[in-house]
Amino acid sequence: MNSLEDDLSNSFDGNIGSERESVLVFVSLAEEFFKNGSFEEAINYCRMALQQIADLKEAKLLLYKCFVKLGLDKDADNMKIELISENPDDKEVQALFNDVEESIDEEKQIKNENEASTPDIINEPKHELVKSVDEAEEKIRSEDNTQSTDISNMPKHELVEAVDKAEEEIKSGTQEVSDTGMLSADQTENLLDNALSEINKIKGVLGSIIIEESGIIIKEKTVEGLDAEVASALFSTIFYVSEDSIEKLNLGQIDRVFIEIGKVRVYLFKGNGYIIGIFTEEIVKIGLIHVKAKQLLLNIKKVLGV
Amino acid sequence: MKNTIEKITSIPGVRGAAVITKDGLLIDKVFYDNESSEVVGAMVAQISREMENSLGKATDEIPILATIYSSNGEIVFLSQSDFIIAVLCEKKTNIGVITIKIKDIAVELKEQLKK
Repeated sequence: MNSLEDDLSNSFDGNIGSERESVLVFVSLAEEFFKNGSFEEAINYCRMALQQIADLKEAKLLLYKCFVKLGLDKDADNMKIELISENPDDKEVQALFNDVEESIDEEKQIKNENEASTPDIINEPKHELVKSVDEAEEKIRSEDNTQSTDISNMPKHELVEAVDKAEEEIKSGTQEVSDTGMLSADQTENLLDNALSEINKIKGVLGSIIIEESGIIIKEKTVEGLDAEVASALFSTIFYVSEDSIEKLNLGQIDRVFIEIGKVRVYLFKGNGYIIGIFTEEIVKIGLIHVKAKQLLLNIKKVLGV
Repeated sequence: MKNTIEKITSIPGVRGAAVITKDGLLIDKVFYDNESSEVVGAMVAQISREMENSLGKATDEIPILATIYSSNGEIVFLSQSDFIIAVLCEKKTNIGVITIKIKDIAVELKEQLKK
């Protein structure tokens, strides 16, 4: 007799369509990160998708765009070759390459224009900066520009201080840009909502809930009539009580818990300090549920930005 | 009662099985070490109590079956109206067989406890 998990894994293997749908969730997550400017996160999600389906075009296209954005030309070229060889007549692939190449040209043009008009004051040594300010002052005086009074009347030590301050502001400004790579509360909620919706789409799943290990509800999409607060408190207690005893029994770490009450099943998964509870009917593809829950737990810290 | 419990402990990978009251008191057991049976009994009784408080009382018709999977082993328990059967297994044990057996012996034990 095969074990329950073997049976269910076999049934999972037979459902390629569902697997592709579940993997596309990663591509959607990657797209969100890409839009947000978090290209490295997007690459991670694309790679996770490709681990499940090695020739997933959507993931490869996005991966290519990320490589381009990060200036990883060699990786981008390799991905381009791979995509063309796998999809020689695909118009979507060709259109993407054309779009990306056009946008690269535009970006280069804008960059060149900016470089020509704006000196790189961050990398310029301070004495050269003062020198260039002197030169600018001279130029302004010679042109008899009325605006020159502000700078020309300023003592040199104040000018150096002003330059220092400007440098600091530019540096802190740069930091702010990288901080905005984090997802907003709405985006996080949408991602979690989508993830739970994907789980709930599996045939036989009645609802799902994500809680913090202490029992605080992060997001829930459960069946009507089920008190999510009570359920989250129970799930948290189950792990809390079990972990202590499991440790005494030298059984390692708890991976998951399965509960069967009448015709309802509850699958609990724990990882990264979070618990996912999935309520199902009697017959359900446990293999698929297992994969989805594990994927969500693996990435939940990134999604929540903790 | 021991003979009934041994139907489960004879399955390869099973380290022990115990029948306990809802309060966690040991009714009977077949365990390879005493300490494990006490820890498993206490844990299972507490979890079962919490589940019944939240999800409703376990009855003979609708028992609560739970499996705790850990990295080095598994604990399976079945909570009925009067008693709980708990089984401690090694990692590669066939949980499907355990689940079927535990339900079978629950029926037998219920008959034995009635006598």
